[in-house]
Amino acid sequence: MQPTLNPDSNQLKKDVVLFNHWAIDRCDYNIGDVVTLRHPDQPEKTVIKRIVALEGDVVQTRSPYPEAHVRIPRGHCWVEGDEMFHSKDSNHYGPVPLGLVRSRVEYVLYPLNRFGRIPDKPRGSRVRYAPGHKVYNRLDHE
Amino acid sequence: MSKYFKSAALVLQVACGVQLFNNYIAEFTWCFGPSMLPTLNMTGDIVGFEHLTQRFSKLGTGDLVVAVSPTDPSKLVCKRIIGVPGDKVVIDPVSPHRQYITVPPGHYWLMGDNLSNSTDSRAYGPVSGGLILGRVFARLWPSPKWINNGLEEIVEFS
Repeated sequence: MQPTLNPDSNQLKKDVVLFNHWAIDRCDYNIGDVVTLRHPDQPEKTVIKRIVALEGDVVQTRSPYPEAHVRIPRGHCWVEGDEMFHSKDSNHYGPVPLGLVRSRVEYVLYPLNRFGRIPDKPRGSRVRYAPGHKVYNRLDHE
Repeated sequence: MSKYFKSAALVLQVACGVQLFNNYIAEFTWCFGPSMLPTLNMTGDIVGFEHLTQRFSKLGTGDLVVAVSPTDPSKLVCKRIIGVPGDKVVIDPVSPHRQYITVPPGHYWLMGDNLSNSTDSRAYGPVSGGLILGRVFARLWPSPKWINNGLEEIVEFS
């Protein structure tokens, strides 16, 4: 998830972030949210990724995913790390059921020079969104 | 006044204890639907499920489990584990054209006991272990009984 979390400027320090569990209990999943989820193949492992697409969207995948385009099935999402070349995300293990998502990462608490909300990422052109999906890009409002 | 503070503190402590017990040890839930006949009723049962087996031991074939539905994260499903990671299972036992699938690592193949009326892994594929909340160990109501893994070893006749 570099450079959003643990960028190289941290050197050996680790980020401290705030998780919001209530949003996920309400099933409030949005495109662009950074979330923690249980790894689909190793449930004791927790990973942090960004939700890029929800059910019904068509995603243009990157290697090593076997198919070029994927339509996300019902109740699933497509997660990707912000560091596209070094991330093991849905391009490795496919669409992730939303039940595996544990909490939403909202704020960076430490180090203090990056204190604040997790910034959003500009939407690329690799996802064709299904009609009715609220695609809210916080970058437009800053 | 301090009497009320003490009772409020006690209520808070009991509530926290119950919440921790529910999250880490065992809890009860309402389970209804025809997909688990005849083991569970169609009109609804209260079943107890525990979280310890998945954390300290392994879930095995034949265990009844409660899981988050892969198609709707706000709903729970109660099914039986038919395949553990590495098993080769038949996708649809009733169809004339038999197809097999190897259960991928970290996933389980779930099927309801009432095959003719159950949406299970035959529809949505192998279920990730992270979706499984716990193993059902008892039915509390209407007729309390322990629910066991009812499988027996097949004796080879040679």
